[in-house]
Amino acid sequence: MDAVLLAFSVALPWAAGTAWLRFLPKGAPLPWATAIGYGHFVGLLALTFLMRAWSLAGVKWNFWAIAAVLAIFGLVPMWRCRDRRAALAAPDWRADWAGLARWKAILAAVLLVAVAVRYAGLLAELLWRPLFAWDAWMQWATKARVWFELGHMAPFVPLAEWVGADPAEVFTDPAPGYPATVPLLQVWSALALGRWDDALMNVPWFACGVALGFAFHGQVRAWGASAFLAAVATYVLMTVPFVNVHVALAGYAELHMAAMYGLAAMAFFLWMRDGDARQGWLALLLALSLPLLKKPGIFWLASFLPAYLVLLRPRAAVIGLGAASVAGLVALFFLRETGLRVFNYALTADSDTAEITKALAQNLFQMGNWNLFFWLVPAMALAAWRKLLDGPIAGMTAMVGSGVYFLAVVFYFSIAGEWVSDFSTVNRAIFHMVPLLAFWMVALVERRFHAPPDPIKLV
Amino acid sequence: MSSPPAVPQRHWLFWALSCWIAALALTFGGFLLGFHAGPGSARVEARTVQGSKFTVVQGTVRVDGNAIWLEKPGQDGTLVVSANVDPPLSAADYRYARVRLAGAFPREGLSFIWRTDRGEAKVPSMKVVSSGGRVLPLTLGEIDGWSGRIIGVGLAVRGELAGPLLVDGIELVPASAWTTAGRIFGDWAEFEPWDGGSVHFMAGGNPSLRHPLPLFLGISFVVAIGLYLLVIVLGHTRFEPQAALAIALLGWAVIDARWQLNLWKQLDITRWQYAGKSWEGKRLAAEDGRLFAFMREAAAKMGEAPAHVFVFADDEFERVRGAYHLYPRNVTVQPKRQSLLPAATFKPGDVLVVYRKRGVEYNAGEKTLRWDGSQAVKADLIHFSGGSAVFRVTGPG
Repeated sequence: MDAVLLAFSVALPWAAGTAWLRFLPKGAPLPWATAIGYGHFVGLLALTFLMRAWSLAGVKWNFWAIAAVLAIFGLVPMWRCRDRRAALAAPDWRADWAGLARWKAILAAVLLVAVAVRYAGLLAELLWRPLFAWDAWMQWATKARVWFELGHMAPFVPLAEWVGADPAEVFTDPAPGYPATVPLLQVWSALALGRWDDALMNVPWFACGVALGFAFHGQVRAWGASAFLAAVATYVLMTVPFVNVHVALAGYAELHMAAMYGLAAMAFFLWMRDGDARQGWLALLLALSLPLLKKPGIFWLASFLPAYLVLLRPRAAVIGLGAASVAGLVALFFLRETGLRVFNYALTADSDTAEITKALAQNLFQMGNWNLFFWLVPAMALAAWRKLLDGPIAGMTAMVGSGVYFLAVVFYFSIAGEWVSDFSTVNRAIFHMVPLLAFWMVALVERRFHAPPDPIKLV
Repeated sequence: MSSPPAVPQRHWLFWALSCWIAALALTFGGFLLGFHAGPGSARVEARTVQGSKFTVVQGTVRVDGNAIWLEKPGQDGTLVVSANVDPPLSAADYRYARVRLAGAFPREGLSFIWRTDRGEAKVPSMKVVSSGGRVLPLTLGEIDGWSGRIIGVGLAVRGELAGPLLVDGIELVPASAWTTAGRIFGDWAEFEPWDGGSVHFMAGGNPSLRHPLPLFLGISFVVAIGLYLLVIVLGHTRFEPQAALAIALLGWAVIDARWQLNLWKQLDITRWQYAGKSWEGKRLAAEDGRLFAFMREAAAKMGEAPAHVFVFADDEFERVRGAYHLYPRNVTVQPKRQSLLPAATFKPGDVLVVYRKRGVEYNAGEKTLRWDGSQAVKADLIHFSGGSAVFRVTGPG
């Protein structure tokens, strides 16, 4: 019975979100892979918004009542498309792989089966092992535990405030200000089970990993890559060890942040290139939701601005952003002496640059975190260096550049540099960029080896 | 005008595989040159010091055939055994030591020790590490004090043993390129289980990052692409992107295969530890099962009335994890603070959970809890088990 309830708790918001992306009242639907992939995140956001509203209204959560609202939410687009529902429901897998050479079809199938086997194992690991990773039980699941028990989102406050507060109403943990989305996902699973189980409640992390694969595959195809290249790229992204670790040792926000940031970026670039409003809405929804996952989400949201500027006015933006970057670095060299705090990270002049650089090099190129991912990224950038500012890819390059700039500032100019040297933060921070980097590499491959430059169609 | 010679028609896959394999060989050669120390081929035979040859320096042992059982430490908490190496061996001839053990690996540490003919005041030692149930070979270097002529070897165990430890012997493996190559492959294949750091980083094999496989295959990738470009420049083929893609994928697949095997082995351990158990059964079977059991008892004794609960323990993991086990009680913990908070912090009705904490006293007659010399509160003892206790504050001390 647990398996049925858990599967239902994952499938219902997923199906509801997918319905909104597939069953559109007019125009072509999004391909199934894209609809399924993004549908998970649309459904997840709808679910957590609904749970917040429920709590705000002062009504205790009830799994079946919330499920009923979600089901209605999912049925609305299907009712609106009742005249063409059958056509919209038709699968499109065969068309996607039609025309592939036999050896490519076989290799692509082998790679995707390898991914399926991998994720089956990760699911078993996740279901058997109780909450394991440190921050997951120290400062994320603490909220889930309390909220599940009380049936609403009780406030979490700092210790100084908690000491004088009513113990029946106000709680605390080592990170009381952390956003609510991740704990709400765990609460939802616990509500489905009807009990607290800090192993089974982590199924949403498996769902996130799978949805990322579907969405990435769909967007890579939409960009113009062949079905074969899309399969290879999906295999590469889905088998990155660090991605797998964050599925198996669930409970951190990193996996959801990486997925939603990357998918928001992919949708954004497809919207900018093709003028596809569906992609535009997806980009807007996911990008605006980033701060609801983790506080650094605000910086990832801000990285859309340089990308947009470069696509709008390429030459002026590149020059302006370059000048702003240099000016920013100069300002930081002075400001770091002041100990100024930016989003709770104190600037510092005491960073051990050599140690930080060594730690970065070890983690990216020597250790087992990323397979060969960070060997391939610079290799691809070098192979396609003439295309880095070519057409729509210029925006992606700007976004990647602003992400690298942001991380470099955090690592080298703030106290977070210590957490790079001790390996505790470096990979989790870089992880947020990985799906975007994977998409960037595919776009570079396409531009370098296949397509002539496309004109940019701005909306 | 004569037409240019036709480019030979070998398949792109031929060039991809050839360049990749050549790159692997070249890079491995480079790794051997870089990591190997000592003679290229072994000058001596491997030497084994059998367990039965060890004599006890401290503690209680029992000889059993060719092996020796390490049973109990001495009064100072250490167990030391040693054996003479006769004839003495030259440290430069031997690069690795394999300690053959069976039984529960000592939790507080096991060291390989040796004596040289220089008669040092402090016996040099090297920590023996176990990973995934396997005792890892030791790499012996001059920097560790492995130099000169070795006249004796031994083992030192710190702390109590969970059970008797069987030592079959210590094998000293001579330095040679072949041994170094074997060591490299061994490091690549080494199992890396989940631990507290896994969500932050994975070594990808040997935790000390010796001979890292991603570095090897990354360099091989660069070399292979370089060789492929050379082949193109020499006119043997033209550039085909699928060849470069194949080179990249081949390296990726090797690391991925190793990673998948690692995941399967880890999954087997997880299955053995947790499969088929209820949630509570899993929690009790976990590494912190005793902590969970205590906190579950503590929560039951606290009662249902809302109260501020403070958790204290000397060990940071026990402190913070113990607090987690108490939720949804209204609990707080100071992750980086070992000592109790000042007494003025606590109000009547507050609950203090004191888990394996030194420096705290409770006077049952006066119902007073004291710590840090002058700090005190009046409190009722509501639960006590195995040196840990739960108190409900009743007033100032």
